[in-house]
Amino acid sequence: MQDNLLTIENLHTHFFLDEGIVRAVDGIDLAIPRGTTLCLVGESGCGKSVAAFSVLRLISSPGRIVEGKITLHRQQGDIDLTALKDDGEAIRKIRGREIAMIFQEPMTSLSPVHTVGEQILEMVTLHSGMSKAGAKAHAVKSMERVGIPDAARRFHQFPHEMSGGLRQRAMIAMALSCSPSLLIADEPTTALDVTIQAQILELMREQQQALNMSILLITHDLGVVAEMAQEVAVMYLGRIVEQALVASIFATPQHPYTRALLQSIPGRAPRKTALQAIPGSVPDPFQQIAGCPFHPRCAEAVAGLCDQGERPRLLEMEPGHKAACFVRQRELQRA
Amino acid sequence: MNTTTQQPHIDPQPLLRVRGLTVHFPVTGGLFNRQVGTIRAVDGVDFDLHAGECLGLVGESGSGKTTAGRAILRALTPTAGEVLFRADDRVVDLAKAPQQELRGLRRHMQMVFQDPYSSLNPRMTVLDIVSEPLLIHGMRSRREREERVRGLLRQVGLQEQHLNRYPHAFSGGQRQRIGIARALALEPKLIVADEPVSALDVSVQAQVLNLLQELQARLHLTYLFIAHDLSVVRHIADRVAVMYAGRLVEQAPVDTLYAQPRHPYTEALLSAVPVPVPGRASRRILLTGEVANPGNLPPGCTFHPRCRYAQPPCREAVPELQEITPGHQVRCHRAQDLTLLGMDG
Repeated sequence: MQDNLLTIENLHTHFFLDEGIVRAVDGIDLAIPRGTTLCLVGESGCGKSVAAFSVLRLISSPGRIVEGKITLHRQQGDIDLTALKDDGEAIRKIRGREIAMIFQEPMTSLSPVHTVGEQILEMVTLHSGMSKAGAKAHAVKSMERVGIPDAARRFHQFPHEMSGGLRQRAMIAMALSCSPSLLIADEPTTALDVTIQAQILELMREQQQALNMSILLITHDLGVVAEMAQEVAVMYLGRIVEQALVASIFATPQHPYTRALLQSIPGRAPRKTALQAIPGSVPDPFQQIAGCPFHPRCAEAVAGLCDQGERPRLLEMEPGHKAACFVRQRELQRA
Repeated sequence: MNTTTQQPHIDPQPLLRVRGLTVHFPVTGGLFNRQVGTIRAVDGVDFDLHAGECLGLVGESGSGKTTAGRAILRALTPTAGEVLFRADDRVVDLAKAPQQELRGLRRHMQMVFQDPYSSLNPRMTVLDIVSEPLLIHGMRSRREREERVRGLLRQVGLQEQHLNRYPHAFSGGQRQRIGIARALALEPKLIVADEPVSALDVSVQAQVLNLLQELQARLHLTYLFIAHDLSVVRHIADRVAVMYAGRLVEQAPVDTLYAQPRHPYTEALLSAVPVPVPGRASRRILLTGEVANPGNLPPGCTFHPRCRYAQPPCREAVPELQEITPGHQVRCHRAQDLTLLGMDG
């Protein structure tokens, strides 16, 4: 039995709009073991960010968690996050303290009208009950720890006085200042140059080891996945379509969607040739597709098998490697 | 499927010859708004671009690659330098051409932008967006324009029924196709594509890259492809020019540059690219700090504060761009004695 920090069971988060219901997250199960990184991969609109926001209970109207359980396993006992009030005391104590989040755009979590130091300080005093002087020393230390040079001076700077890379570090310093057990990182390096991206990824790995922290990393960059993940879950239209350890996802991808994603990256195909693109684009979220939701874009779809009935279930194809594909599952049955 | 593999026909005479391209922005301040400094966004860039070729221009944000692209098209006026463009059997210096002459020349050179959401007017239909350049350049008959737009949409993989829709009804990939159709409307020779696929998902990115390659082969287009994603550039470009703090630091054919970089900055950039192969031992060179500030460049080689091979002369003298092997130029004092690592396979 793995030592899981967080388990998500049968999570459904839907948005109730005038035009209809968007099933942004439509029944996902995930478990993140302590001290490891799980990557959630998929194209825009697949529900990966909504899943992450659901964990922090940051879904607001017209969205709602309609079903499911999100359990945080703590020393003082398990707690079901979906049972908490989303603006209550209990979840606010968990946000930032036990589960922290970082974003693609640092200004999502930094306020432009307060100095970076004040903001980290607020977080520390809110959650730790340290004395003012102690909290300030701690805040400067967390800035130093993420490699912000001249932290004591930077403490008094506003976010706009910093470069993009430094701001990203300041946001990470704030997120890590209370030593959270889970860090949710939503595309944390997408807007950065490769050189700065390399620095930030390295920083996340270092801090993970130092704090024995779990990371839920949301990204669409498969290079980042290969570098950071222990386990990978691929999402398509609100569901996980494939899940496995990172080596096995790259070596033996099972789901045609995962295969197509891997083939569409430039760098694997010979130069100046046509890339294997996935035809079409992610369908309209209001549209209900019978059978496997990927079948209209799937090169391996079989008429009569993939285009009717229920959605395929996520089943184990090899030990520890799950996929939701009718074609694969039929092959396995026949073998 | 592999129609684009054959080498494109490349003219010996360059379509575009850029020499000493310089764009400086004044920094004003103080009591009388006097000039107190200069931002050297582009600081003496030289390169040739042959017809039918694709040159990748790479570098970190702030390296001046976008400014260089815009200055070449005269979207902004360069401070100094020559931009020699071959049009209608004569050579024009775009950097000095008067506005009136430029207007006529613009049909030969077009731009594709990064953000498909903000580069299309939300109040115009696809027909209006794509036909606007035709109207400006004198195609008066509406029927004729509509006919041409239909053809263009087909060419970029959109359907005719899309003609009267507004941009919001399209996905990011489709919008980029509209942007490409608009750029192609006047049958340009040169296309400056500024990060054309970086806002797109990988699967859609592949579609747009395929389209760009297909169009290049079919229409004999010449691309200046500005991007920060080195795997994308490796896929589509013939040659690569690496920019750092407003200057070219290295220029070479793609295979050479990726296999045997000669500038330490190129080496570091290549090593920073995450490779989609799990468990591969990292031999990453972590560059400390950030791109040199173009308002206050360090003396000597502008890269020396971040360079792990820097020696005393690097802090004093500015290195020249020198040709090491035919077609391979490097701006580094130590280019001859360093053995640098490229990217595997």
